[in-house]
Amino acid sequence: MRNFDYQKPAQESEAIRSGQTTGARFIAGGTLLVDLLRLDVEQPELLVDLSALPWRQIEVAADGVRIGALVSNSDLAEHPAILAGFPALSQALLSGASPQLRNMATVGGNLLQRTRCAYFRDVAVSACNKRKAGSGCAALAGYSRMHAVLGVSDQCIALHPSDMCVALLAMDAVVHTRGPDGERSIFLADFHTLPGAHPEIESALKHGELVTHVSLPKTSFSARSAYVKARDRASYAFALASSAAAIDLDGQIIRQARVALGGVGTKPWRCMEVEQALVGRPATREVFQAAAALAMSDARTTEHNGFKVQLARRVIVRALERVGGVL
Amino acid sequence: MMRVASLFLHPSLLALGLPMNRGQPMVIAFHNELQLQESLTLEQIRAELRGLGAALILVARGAVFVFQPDDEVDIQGSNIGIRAAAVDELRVACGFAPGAPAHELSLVVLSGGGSVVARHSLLATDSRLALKGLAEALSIAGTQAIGPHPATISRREVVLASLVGAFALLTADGCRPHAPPPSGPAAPPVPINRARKITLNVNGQAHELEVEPRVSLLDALRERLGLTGSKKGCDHGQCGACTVLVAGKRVNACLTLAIMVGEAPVTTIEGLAKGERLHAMQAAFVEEDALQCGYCTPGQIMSALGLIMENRAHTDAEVREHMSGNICRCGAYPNIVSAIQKARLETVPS
Amino acid sequence: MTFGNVGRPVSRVDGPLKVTGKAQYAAEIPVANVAHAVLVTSAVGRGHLRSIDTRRAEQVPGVLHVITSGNVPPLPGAKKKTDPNDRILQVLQEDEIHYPDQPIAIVVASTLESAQEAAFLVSATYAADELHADLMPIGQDRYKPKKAGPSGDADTKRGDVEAAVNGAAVRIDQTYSTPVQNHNPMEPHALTVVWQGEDHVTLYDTSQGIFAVRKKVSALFGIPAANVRVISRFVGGGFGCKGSPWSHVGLAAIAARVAQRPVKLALTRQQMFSLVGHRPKTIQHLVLAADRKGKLLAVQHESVSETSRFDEFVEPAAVVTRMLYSCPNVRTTHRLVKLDIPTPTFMRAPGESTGTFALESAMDELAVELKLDPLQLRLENYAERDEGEDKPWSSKSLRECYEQGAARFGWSRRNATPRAMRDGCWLVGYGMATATYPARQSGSSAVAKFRRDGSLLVQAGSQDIGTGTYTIMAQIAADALGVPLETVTFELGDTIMPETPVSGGSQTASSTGSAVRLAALALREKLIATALADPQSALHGLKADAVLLSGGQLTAQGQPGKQDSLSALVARSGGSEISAQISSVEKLERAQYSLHSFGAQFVEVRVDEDTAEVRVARAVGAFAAGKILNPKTARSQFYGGMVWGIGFALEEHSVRDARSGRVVTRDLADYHVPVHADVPELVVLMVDEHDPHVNEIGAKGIGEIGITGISAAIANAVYNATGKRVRDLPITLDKLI
Repeated sequence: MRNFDYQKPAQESEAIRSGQTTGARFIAGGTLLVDLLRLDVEQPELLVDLSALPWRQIEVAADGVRIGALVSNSDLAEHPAILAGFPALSQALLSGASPQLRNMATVGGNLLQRTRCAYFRDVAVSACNKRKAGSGCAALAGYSRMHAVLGVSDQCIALHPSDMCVALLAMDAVVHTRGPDGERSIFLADFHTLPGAHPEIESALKHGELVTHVSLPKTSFSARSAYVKARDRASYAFALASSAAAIDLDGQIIRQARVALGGVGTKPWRCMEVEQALVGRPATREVFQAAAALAMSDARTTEHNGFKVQLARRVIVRALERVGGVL
Repeated sequence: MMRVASLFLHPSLLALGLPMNRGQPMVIAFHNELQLQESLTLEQIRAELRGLGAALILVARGAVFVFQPDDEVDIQGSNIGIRAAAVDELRVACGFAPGAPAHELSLVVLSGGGSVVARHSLLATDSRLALKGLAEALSIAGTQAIGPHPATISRREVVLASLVGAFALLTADGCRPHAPPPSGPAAPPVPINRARKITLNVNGQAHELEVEPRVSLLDALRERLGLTGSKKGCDHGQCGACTVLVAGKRVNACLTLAIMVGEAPVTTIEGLAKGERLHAMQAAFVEEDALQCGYCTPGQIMSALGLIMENRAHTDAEVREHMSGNICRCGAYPNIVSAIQKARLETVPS
Repeated sequence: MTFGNVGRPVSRVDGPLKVTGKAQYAAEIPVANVAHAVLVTSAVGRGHLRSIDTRRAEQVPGVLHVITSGNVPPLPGAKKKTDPNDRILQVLQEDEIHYPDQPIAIVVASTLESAQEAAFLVSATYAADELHADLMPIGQDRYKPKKAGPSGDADTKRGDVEAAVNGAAVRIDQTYSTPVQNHNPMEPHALTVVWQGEDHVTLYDTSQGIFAVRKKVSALFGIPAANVRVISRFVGGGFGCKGSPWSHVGLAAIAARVAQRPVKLALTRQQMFSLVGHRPKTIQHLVLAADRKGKLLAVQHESVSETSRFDEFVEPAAVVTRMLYSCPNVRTTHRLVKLDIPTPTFMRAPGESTGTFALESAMDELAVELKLDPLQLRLENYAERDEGEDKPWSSKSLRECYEQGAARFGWSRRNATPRAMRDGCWLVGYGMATATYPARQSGSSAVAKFRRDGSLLVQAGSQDIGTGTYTIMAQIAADALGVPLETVTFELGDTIMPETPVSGGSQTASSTGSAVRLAALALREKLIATALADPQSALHGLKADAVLLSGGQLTAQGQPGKQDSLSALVARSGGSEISAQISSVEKLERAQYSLHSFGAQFVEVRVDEDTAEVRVARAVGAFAAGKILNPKTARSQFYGGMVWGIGFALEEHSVRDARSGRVVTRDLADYHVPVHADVPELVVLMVDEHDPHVNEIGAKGIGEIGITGISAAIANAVYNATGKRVRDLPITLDKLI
């Protein structure tokens, strides 16, 4: 990896100031950034270490939970309020990576997880619009079994690999940031951006802007939620397709529903069409299947990843079955 | 400064008929009591000899031994008798006064070309001290031989460098050639030294290091502190061979920057056994044959300890899930699970 | 306890070193001021290097040298193979690019970080040509190699296959394929090179064959083999890819020579996918013909595999078909296609693993077709002798393996109808297959030294790649000499020790174990003779056969008072030790027999009805492999093979980009090997077997048989669960959904 400078600000304001420097990158758990530094995909001139900042709290209030950006994936997954109130989030976190990585990785970092696209990660491949705007996309006509089928563009089909974000999306999470221009609150649904013509831009975050915490509103459906992940091996593997589902039941009738997909989109993908088809219907496998069939209608597949269309619908059904009392 | 065209060709050395490699650097050490014995100091001497690519010619009372770094200490096979007069001739050739004073360790380092690179004398009243003196002197000679310090240096190197002033160094043509200046246009800009002083607390011991921010905890352990028990299997957090405990939690040392560890205590595989007594987890791994090639083993054991401290996985299935960050290509998985379940009883979560 | 160490579940003697982190692997040998080397590899897969710019790399602080084809010393031996299993290396002697990630430069720096940074700063331009990096079912030039691996001819034929097929009641005609796989031992290839003078060098290498490394380095640099010392005391896994030296070995030695400083080089995990061999892709066409009862009338097995354009490796996949079943009409062929890829190599059970997948899948298809139990079909065609070699077996206990394995597994509970067995959302399937691997032996040598302090030191070059060599050799030597195991030390991994063969082909116990036994027996004779000839010995003048040796004591038979201790004997001899060195050859009577291990694999899989995820729920492997020297380490070997079978069947696949030829799945996140959660409880049954012919110690070798048959057993179980037959591995969910 290239050489870089290192700062460890003790104050938030200092961190924001340092983050303005050209070539500066924030580092928290490091599981993502050090990986990419070692591949030469990232070449920052300055790392601003956030670990001294006081953002490791999980605060439980009547209206929801507030999660500091530096809370580790393990701590979040194991927190009683999450286990009880937002089980899909706990399950999503525990289905990701390994115990070691979960101990290191933070909530803020996970929000900004980069794609696993092999062409993005191999700097000997020159064509990658995400790495270098305008250079092309080697994945489009390459080996794309793991790649996205939703939200793709002619410039990029890189998959968003996070499990956590899929659950957060289904929980109506809000990302809170602070930057040189002050504070912002961004719905998770608006936080990640589609590649479009600019795959190098991945989120609404501006240079030097920091995620300070994530808030999860208390809802009628979050406690009845589940995360289901299909993958190539039983553990320590990225999703081929995954789904977070949450429902609020009135007897057998679905009052509200949330369904989100992972492993298929260029960003975590919410399936409103599925949600709408569920509301007012009984929680049965047939209803789940009929609703899930509406998902993925916009999928744009390659010769290698067509299977994700079926698979995604099936993980939706499985997740709904888990929360709907069918299983 | 003294110059000798090539000491290899000196009659006093040739007369010994030593089994020498052509052009091999050589350390000639004179000490009457010095005996090679397996010890940490001898391991250091081996490392220094490897570093110099040198053989050690040990001239003790009435005998000469040739010792290559990977020889066994039992080197009687290469024991060559030597007369006192011949010892004196050799001493003179090496630049020392004839007549070995009692307890004096005198040594020269000869380059591959046969010229004297370094010379040193010190008092060592017994073999153990003589070995230590030899190790230290070789260390300084070795550091000198490679020229300027690397950008990242360990504390040990800093200490050695400070000793260099006291070390009689003879250079000139004997020194190893340095890299030619890089071809190309302008001279490079003066490099910025980004190295920082840090203190790593590893296995209860504080280590001062000077590292660039880009140095991983794993490389700091393996390449700077000589703690090679933590393994590098992938360098990307995909195999778990580098697992260590930082502040009691298992992490991948390959994705951890050393500079970010701060004061947090680091526990590596080297920190588990109490002397010869294995930690219960280590003993269980041996007993259950939970290893084959052994390369993933330190990571498996550290991860297993992390797992037990998390106090979360209990059934075999849970153990498998929560050990899945540690790949064993030999396929020792069934025995690893057995070992963990066995050692769990003796390993109380803290 | 003196006798009976062999066969006892002794804990690995190197275990304590490995669990404490004290075992030093190749990149961990303490070398003061060692410089670090990093390889720079080609971005393109075919063409030639047009220019290479090293200036920015050279300006990185700490960089000592950047070696390219422009400034590398010429190595006259670079293009030569030192033996058939040697590989042609790319050590910067030419600008032609033969495969992606071929080395184009080596950076040497005083720190690892500087070398890594500089490696990124070497920039190259290429004249790239169109390439072909994927083996296709049709449309590529195939050629017949001279041999199909070490075991024989490329093609064989017995009887008249066409006629038998045409007349048969039942036929199976299918094509199976196995993908490119990479060994991926946990320890990436690494070595530390120390030149000790102009023409002497020591390499601390991670190697399954230190004598092959010595030969190669000697040839590359034109120096006598005696001047090259290779030390490999611990090897972090090999599985075949450390069986012959690869380009990085020569490059590290060059770098150390140029830098005039010791150099350490460890490959990155990504480089492990291109620079150290792989299991080649195979496409195998099987035709089985049988009568209604299931008696095989004809078998045809045609295997095509890939090789590089500049070198040759044959995956001998059809060899197993020559001997596994009784059948009068059998034809097997091997063909190769040259591609723009690095040279493939041996990978755990080369030939048998790939070949049994195809053959044993086809047998399962035949059983389905015949509505016959797959186990019954195999018993119908049980080979009482090797019909391919036309020789009797030295021993064969396959029937016992079938019986014991089936009983333990509960095979009789199998429902042959697909999708008939369920557990919640899981479809349950049972599958089985036959396992087999040749019992090889090569000449080897060893030295045994009894020392004055009462200890026995036995040395043989050899390697312990995790198989337990350190342990079993000590057991063998202790029993042969009649001394307690605690007094025995076995040393290996150094070319100054007696020469031994490569640790591959499951032959180390057989070859070097025999040598160790013979050396210990020779030492025993020598010790007794010394005592008898020694006037000071209480045994002086007795006949050799009147003396017993046990527990380190010599005793006159029937006269317990007449004793002499071995250590006293050595002390009186005036030396520090009495030693005997022998060279062993293959046991002569082996030529009369066909020598193989056999086994039976039984697997239960679960397939998620919705997601089509496949998980192995349990597996039973029953193996007969002659004498089991150490059941504890042996069980681990079998486990390891079966775990590899899970990866082989369900996960492992090195994918190459069709345009660039570069491996896309180039790390352990994208190239899946089994993790803990993939491996259920495994049962290994070691079936008792006595084989007096195979070698001096009666052991057949167990390192590879565990991976044979099991991928077919899994595929067959997936069929039983789902009704879907997957003929191209790995069986990933996209092939089932």
